[in-house]
Amino acid sequence: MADRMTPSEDPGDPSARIDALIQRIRDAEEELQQLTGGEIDAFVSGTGTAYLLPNAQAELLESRESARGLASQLRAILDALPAHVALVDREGVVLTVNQAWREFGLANGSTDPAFGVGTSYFAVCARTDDPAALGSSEVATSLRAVLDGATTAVSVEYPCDSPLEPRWFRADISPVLDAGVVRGAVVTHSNITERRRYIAELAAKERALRESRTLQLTAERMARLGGWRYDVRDGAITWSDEVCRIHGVAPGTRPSIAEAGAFYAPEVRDTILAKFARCAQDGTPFDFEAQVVGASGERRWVRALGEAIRDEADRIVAVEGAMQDVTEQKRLEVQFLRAQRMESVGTLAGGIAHDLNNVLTPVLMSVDLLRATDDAAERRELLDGIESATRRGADMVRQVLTFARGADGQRTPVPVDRVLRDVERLCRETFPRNIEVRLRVDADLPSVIGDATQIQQVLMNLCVNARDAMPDGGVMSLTAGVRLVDAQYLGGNADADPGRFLVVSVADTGMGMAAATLDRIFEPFFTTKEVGKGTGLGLSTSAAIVKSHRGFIRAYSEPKVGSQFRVYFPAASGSAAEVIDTQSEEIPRGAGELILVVDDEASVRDITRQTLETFGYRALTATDGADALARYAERRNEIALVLTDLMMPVMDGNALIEVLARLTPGGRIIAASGLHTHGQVLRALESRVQAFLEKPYTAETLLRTIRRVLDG
Amino acid sequence: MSPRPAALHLRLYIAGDSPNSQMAMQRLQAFCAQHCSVPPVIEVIDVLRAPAKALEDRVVLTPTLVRVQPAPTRRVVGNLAAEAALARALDLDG
Repeated sequence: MADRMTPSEDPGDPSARIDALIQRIRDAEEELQQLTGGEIDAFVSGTGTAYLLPNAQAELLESRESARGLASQLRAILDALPAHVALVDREGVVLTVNQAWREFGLANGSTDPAFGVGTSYFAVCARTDDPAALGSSEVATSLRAVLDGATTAVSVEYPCDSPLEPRWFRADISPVLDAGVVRGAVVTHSNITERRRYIAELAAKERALRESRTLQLTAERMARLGGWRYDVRDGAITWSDEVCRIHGVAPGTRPSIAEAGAFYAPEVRDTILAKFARCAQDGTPFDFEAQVVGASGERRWVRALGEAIRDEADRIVAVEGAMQDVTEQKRLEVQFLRAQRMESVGTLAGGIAHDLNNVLTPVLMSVDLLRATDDAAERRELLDGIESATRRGADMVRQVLTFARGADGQRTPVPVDRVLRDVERLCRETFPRNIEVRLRVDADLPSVIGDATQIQQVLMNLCVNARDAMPDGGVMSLTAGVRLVDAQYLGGNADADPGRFLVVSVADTGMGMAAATLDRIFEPFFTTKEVGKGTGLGLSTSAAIVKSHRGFIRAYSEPKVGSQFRVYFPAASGSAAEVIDTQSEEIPRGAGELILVVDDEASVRDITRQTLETFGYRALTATDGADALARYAERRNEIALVLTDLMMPVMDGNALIEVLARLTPGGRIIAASGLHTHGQVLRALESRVQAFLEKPYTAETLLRTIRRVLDG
Repeated sequence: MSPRPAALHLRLYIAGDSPNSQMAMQRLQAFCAQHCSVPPVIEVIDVLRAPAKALEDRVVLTPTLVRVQPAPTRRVVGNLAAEAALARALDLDG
């Protein structure tokens, strides 16, 4: 302090005096601070000047700077907002606008360099040509209301189309309040075109969805076809309105699984629930026709289809399907079956007439003889002859009538051997004499659950076809036996389940069919017969009947040799699954050998590959001969055996075998064919292939044959 | 029935946003909110803007709180940290 007191030696030096004065001010300030305990910021001198003390000065400076900083931060935030923001005062005069507001003005050709700042917003609103005058009248009204304190905050949506596109804006007007008094307002305009468009799209989508839902409901009702869903996780069942109607319950009914199952007719209930459970368990789809007993007790025929729905992890989460009321179709079907039987009877008419003639001729002759003789013994003999001939005639008429009129739709255990014997008798009596009818039936045939009249219709159709295939006579052989059928044998046929089947074969020694004809014989109205000789409905009807019995038909034919039709009906008794399982333990397994499977039928390829892989082989598949050769060339050293179908497009089995034999003489080849094994083609191949498989074959036959060829 | 208390009219002299002035303002508001049944009239006068007004009230040091009504006039100098002094000045010490 003493140093500062004496900055200079010369007391007359002005700078020294100024220093001294400043020092006195400092001392005074310091004393003041000490006196007031530092609680004083300023003092007012007698001349009316306020002096800030140094501490307060420093603080004040700082707070002013921070206020400036805050203001610039607020400005930055305001400018960063995408909405157009303006602050107006109590009178509506624009005080400030943000960057978005200015840019909007520029983009829309505003000529006002201040972008409305300093002018009344109401005046702007009145000039509708000004781009700032957005939604003018409504916004002006709302702003007035806010400034007058009549309302707190207002939002207005208004259209504001640009020359290029339709646009929508929203104005938000909020009052600026100071101690409850309106001091101005913040006006914000936001472009909400996207949001409006999104909402409009959403509404349109919803409308479309509603319309499509209505359409679906109408379609459901008209087609009598509904949808249902079973949720595996919580067991909930959902029925569409039509499914509810089919069951005779109110739309919206949500039955339990037990309640839903109880609607099926008691005789089929267990079978159907088993199919359903299987689908939910391993995803096997189903498609069946059955009767349901509605809530009112009325029986209706339904077709039910179902398939498993899986989640991303491939777990089955639901079973979904459709259900159609096919009662009407069933009624027509029955009429159709009856009509087709009449047709069948019609084709027999010639034979029947001939036979009746044979019966009536001796009767007539006997009548003449009766008139001519009086001998009692002779007359008795003649009368006996008349009686037996008449009985035979009556019996024949009864048989034809039974067949033609037979009742449809009754499912009972049918002794097929007896039906077959009836068919055989009818054929024997009505077919031309140059056709020999043979019958061989295995002992202890199981019965078939089905409709006796319809089964007879199928067999009759096949016999009539056999007769027509032999215009110059021949042999028709009827045989019946039992055979086990596995998935391999079915070859992907979804209309039947593996198990024990009763097989009826109808073979003829007639003209046979070319492969192209064989492919089409089950099509409705396909016929090779002359006009008037057949309608082309026999085989398609037969196939439909057999399918409804969960069976199938296989046809084999070779031109000039003959045809054979095999009809497979599921046997009524005996659990085939068990039989197959116990046998499969003894089936020889592979040791990773690579087998090339060639077949143009995808279902056959898949099931064969599956069988092979299950039994320890590796499988490679090809769709035709050309494809097979490509694959063979790639992995020639690895492939242990080639299993090829003979009938294939592009390059058939014969050609493939020729090439393979040249590539690898003595290579292991198995040929599979649906033709008769005595075919000429097969004989030609005998030297090049190790074994033939007659299609269809079971997994066991396939595996045993492969093992034998590999080991041989 | 106790007589209705006369309206309290206060004048606080401050110097801009300086620290003691801010403190005094906050403390006065807090005190009134807590102790006054009727909100008093408070005039805030910035001596940096209106030094003449300070001279009229013979306020030399800032911050100073002046009780204008009811009479007599009383004043408290400083940032009002001492609540007892404030209560006494406003006759609110019970």
